[in-house]
Amino acid sequence: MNLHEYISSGIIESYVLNQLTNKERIELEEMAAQYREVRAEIAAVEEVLSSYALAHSKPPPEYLKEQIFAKIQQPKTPVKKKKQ
Amino acid sequence: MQSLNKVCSEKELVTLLKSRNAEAYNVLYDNYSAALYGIISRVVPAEEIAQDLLQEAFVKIWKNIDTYDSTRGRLFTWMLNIARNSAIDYSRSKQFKMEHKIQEIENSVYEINRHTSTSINIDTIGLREQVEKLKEDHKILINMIYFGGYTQEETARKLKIPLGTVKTRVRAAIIQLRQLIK
Repeated sequence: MNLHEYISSGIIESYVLNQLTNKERIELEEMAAQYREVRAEIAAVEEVLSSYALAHSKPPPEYLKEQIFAKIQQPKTPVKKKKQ
Repeated sequence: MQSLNKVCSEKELVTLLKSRNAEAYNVLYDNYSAALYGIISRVVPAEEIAQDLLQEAFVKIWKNIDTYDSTRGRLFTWMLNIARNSAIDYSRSKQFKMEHKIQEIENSVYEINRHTSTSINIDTIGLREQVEKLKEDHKILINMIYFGGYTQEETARKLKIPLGTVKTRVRAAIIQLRQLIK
């Protein structure tokens, strides 16, 4: 398979959608490290699928934000600060 | 917040998120919650459940931010996948009927959302119009894969069309979208 065939094989779309097996993903990441064309294609597919997501945007109700932030900031039990 | 939003590159934002900076999460929520909620709602239209799933996705983002690896793609893509996967896992656990799902997905494509987010600096209405220009058979495939969470192989099996055809059409749809959103 040449580079062009590899790029058009559908594997890049599956990668961006997180649908590859580990083996396929590692192979693709090796290809990306090696070929600028593969990196460019990943970026382009990300751009398209991000736009697709944005095109379907729907603002959540306002009260949800407060609820979510209360949830993520919840564990405020006095924890000893770890020194790193 | 506004200032952080403007001056912050994605890289800087990620650094702040990884240090659990509350303001950074505020920016993240204001910028992306509508996109994440939109995706979730397309997979699971019931509002109350979609809201729970958005909460779940956001908590996952908060908890797992350290596993985000910028060399593997953009932050937005990573978050979208978390939101999509939460919603898809839910819809599968409820054993949604395939037909049911396609129907909903198809309907939602034509749904006009009057509430546009002010925090997303992009013309989402324009994008929606562009998406509607996709060929019908391409749109079905993209929606099955994107909102239905089907792999290209599963899509081929479900629609009883050859895998090669699915791949060609998905590819063509991506290329068409790319040209449309330019």
